[in-house]
Amino acid sequence: MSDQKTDVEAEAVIEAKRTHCEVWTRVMGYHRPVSHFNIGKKAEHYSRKHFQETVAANNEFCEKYQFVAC
Amino acid sequence: MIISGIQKFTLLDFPGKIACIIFTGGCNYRCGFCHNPEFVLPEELAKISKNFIPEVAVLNFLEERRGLLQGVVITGGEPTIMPDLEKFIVKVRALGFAVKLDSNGNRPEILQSLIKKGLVDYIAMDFKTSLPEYQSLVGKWADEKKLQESIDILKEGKVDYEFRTTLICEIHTPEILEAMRETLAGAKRLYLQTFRSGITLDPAFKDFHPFSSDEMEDIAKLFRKDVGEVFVRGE
Repeated sequence: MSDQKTDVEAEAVIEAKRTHCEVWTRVMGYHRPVSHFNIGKKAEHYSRKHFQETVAANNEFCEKYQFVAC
Repeated sequence: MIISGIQKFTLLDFPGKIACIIFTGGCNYRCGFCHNPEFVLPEELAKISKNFIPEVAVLNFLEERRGLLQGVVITGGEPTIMPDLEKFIVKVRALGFAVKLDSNGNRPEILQSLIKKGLVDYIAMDFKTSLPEYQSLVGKWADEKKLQESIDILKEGKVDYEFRTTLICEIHTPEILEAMRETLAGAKRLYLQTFRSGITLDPAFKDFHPFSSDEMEDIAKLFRKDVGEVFVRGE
């Protein structure tokens, strides 16, 4: 029981320390906070995938060489 | 084998041979100046874990490159922590490629067994700093005794090898360089590499500085007293 209580307390402390975080991005070509986007732009923003060089390069390599006929 | 990346062609990384580079994921060190942290930090590896390259793709690729490439460089990360490294090397050799292994030297038993079985043609071992300073630079997994053992194994000269050191102004003080020189005495070949502050594992290292080319040459002179060949790899 006492353990659980400290867990709850700890969570409350963490909660109290949280602050609002404004994310800015340029989905429409210039920087604006995401919280000011309309619903469509928000959807577009959250469905974006970030480019990672390693991922792109590895995918290309696998596509080419994974299923070469033996 | 966790294969986190591949470079299909290199003229630089395997001395005297045309080669490709295979990167393995994961490392037992955390060098602040590491230039490919995406293959070292578990949280970074997790991001690309779905896109690791299957062994079969690499072998298919090598099959196609027979007669074109002469060698394969296995680097990382740290390849010697892969449990099936030996099996993989056997497969690569069966296709007719020479193998160069890059290692931090923390697992001499792996190096020893690969050399004994004649599975590697060239070993490049990082010698990052003086042995007592290792833990403070690369983390608690560094083991002085094992590093010393690796250095001794390579010095025996049963396989072609090089040591290499990335020199950083803030870290490699004259005292440390002197201690390193003593440890390396009798070695065959050493490459001194100029530090680049572009991408580093620890952001603090972005503010660290490389030595100038004149200073690098002076340090090379110091090492030449005891090491057969000393080269500077510049920018």
